[in-house]
Amino acid sequence: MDPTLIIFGIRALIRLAREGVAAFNQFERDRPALFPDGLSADFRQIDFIRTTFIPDHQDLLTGTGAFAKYWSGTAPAKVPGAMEALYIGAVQLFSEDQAKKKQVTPRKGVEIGGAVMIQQWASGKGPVGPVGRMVIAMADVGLEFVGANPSLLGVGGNGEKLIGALATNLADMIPDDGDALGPKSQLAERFVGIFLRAGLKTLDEQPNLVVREEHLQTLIKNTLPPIIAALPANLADQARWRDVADALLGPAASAAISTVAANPRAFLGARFDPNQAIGALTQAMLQQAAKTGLKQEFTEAGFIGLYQAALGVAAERPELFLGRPGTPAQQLASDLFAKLAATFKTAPPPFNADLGTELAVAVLDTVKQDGPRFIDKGGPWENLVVSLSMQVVDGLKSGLTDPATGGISSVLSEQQLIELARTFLTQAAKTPGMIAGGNTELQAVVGGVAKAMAADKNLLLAPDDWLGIAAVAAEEAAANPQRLFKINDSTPAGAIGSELIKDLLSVAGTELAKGGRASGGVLFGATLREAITVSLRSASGNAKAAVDNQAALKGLAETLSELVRTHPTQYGAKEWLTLYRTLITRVLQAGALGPLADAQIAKILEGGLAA
Amino acid sequence: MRRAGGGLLLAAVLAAGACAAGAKLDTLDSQLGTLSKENTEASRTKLAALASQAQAEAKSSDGVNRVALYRVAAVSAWQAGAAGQSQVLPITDEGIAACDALPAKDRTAPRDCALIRLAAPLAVQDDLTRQLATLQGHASGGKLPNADLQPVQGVFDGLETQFDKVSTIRAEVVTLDVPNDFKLRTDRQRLIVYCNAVKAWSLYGDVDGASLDTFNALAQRKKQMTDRLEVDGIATDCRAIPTTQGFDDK
Repeated sequence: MDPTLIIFGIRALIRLAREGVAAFNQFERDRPALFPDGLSADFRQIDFIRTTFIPDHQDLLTGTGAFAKYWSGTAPAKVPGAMEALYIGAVQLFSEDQAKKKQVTPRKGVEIGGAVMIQQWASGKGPVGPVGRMVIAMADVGLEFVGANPSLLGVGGNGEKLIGALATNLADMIPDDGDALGPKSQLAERFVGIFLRAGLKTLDEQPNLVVREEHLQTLIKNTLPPIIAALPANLADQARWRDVADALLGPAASAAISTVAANPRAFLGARFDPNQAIGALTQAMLQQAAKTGLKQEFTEAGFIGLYQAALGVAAERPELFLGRPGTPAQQLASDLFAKLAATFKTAPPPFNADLGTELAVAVLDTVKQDGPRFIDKGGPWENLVVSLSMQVVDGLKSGLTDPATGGISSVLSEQQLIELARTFLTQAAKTPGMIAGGNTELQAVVGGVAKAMAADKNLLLAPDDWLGIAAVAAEEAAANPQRLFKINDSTPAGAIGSELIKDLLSVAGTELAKGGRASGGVLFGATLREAITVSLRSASGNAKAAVDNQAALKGLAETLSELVRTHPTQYGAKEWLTLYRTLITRVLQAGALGPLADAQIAKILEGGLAA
Repeated sequence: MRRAGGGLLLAAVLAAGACAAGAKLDTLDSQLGTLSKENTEASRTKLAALASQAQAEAKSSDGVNRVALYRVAAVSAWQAGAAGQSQVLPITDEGIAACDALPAKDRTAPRDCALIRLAAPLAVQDDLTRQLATLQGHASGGKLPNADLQPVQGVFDGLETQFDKVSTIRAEVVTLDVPNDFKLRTDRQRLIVYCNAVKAWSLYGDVDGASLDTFNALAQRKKQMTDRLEVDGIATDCRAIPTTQGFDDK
């Protein structure tokens, strides 16, 4: 017998046997399979009432609404028959709503309860059936097989190195305890994968960041085990944790690797190992995100922003996380995130959203830059971060809520609001006395400037002008405590800084009403900004005189504005400012000036002393 | 002849080995059907064991058979309730990876892959619903203690997340060649998750010291879910979904 035929016959048998098995397996796979129903809790009468009325018909439950007398807050009022009246109303409303939404009809199948058996394929859509398959196999039995190329799975370059890191570190993360070999080991694998993918992406996007392989391994070793160890046992919590890690761990890894790469000295051979702080911070951030959810206090970007800022602190000042006796870094990091979340949850809008996070980032950046000036590293510095944030929020709040003007949010964008906060924070950090020991001077300064800004109804100053004025106000207030912006602002004496700014804005507003630029007025923009700066600097060292002569100071600005406007060919903005700088000192010393003679003006402008 | 005899032997060995997958699937699927009807503590423990067994069989199998076995494992772990909690996520992760590895991904085994993907969010919804039922039981004189504020909101948040996940899977399911019944069942599951979320939101209003602002904010999130269902032509009448009997033991 021809040996080729024998081999062919054997192949044919093997092939047919295989096809027979495959056909049987296909038959088993495609049989109807169980699709169970999810669990359903009790749907109470009150649930139907609430979901029918709220939010679409909430007006009927409040004010003069037809059902208002039966409703109080979030529940039926304690009125006899309230529940019955509300239910009848809800049934009627529901019917009307359904009639309006004609396209929404209960669908057969959606309504049928209990588990059902369902086929693999829609009718006529599946592959060739088991019998047809055997027929085709018999026809095909003479064909040769083609092998696959196993080298397709080869990995090279950075990917190979990172997969090497995965293998090394994964072994450390899989728990020895057999009982724990369930979800935790699964998550270890998943998290390392996420971390490494993010790392590879970061390196790919920024090849200039050279992170040594073993360094990356150390980062992974220190970052992931505490996260995996903290994994909860409950399925719902586990799923929430995993969602959070899936959403945040990649960006967090990128941030961590970038931070390490940007601070190689900090992460190599330091007295404290900031890599430990990174692990603590990552766990704390994910824990907080899992607790509050990704849609609540912070967005994903907010969480990562806060995390990145905290990493910056860990890189520059690792002792803040690692140097407090009796408080592990993880606890400290958790406290920091939890306190910030709680603070901004109850903060007034717009600080109860991402703006609050950005403010906290600004505070953490200040801690990173100037922490040692005003922080006791052994004390609860995380409380100071919260208190600094709130001093700025409370200060700005007074300028944000003016219903007449729309407040400073009509002057500054959210990003500029953060810049404003940074201006104050930088100054406060340079002057620890402003914030030490529960001092609320920072809040008073921020509040004073914010109130004055809210008075700029005509938008006479640009955002950059206001940022410049804020810097001067903060600097002068820091150098001259308790003068320009005292905590009690119920009288002018309590907040003369704000009053002086408001007076100049008022004079500028009057100028605008008289025609502004077109009529030769100059008190706006850079001139107005400089005038405010001069008045703040002059008053800061002599607050009592500024309070006593507030009206005279305003009168000086009015006089000069009138003078310049009525003599446009002789005087301009430069002359206005020169006269103001010179004469403000005299007003502070001697009170209101009389009319200004031409000779007197000329002398001042020539640089000589005024008579 | 000796050669030919060896070949036949090889063919028989191959056939027996490969045949095992179909036979195993038949056995495991039958057990799943039987145990899921029983609804007792003992049957749920057995379902958890069945999930482990199917997972182990899946690991030693390949291709579409592996996916089918993971489908049995995933549904078993889901139906095991609390007893299968720790198994659901690992099994569905492995099952999804097996689907992704198929030549045409989910299109190769549409029902099995869709069920594997649905099992995790539906198991989590069941877990949250058990928590919800427990919280409903805390009511005294129509009010829940203030300590329940966060847990109730947490259940709402969780159900909203599962609704989103099931809705995302549903968007893929409708593009697959699964029977129309499967699509309707998926919509029913969305409605169940939605209704449980409505119940959690409403229960928030019963908690002592509930914030009206939060209540109204949650109502807006509930409305977004309502709109998503209605866009897909599903009436959001939760009275059409009966309470599961005796599920708080499950």
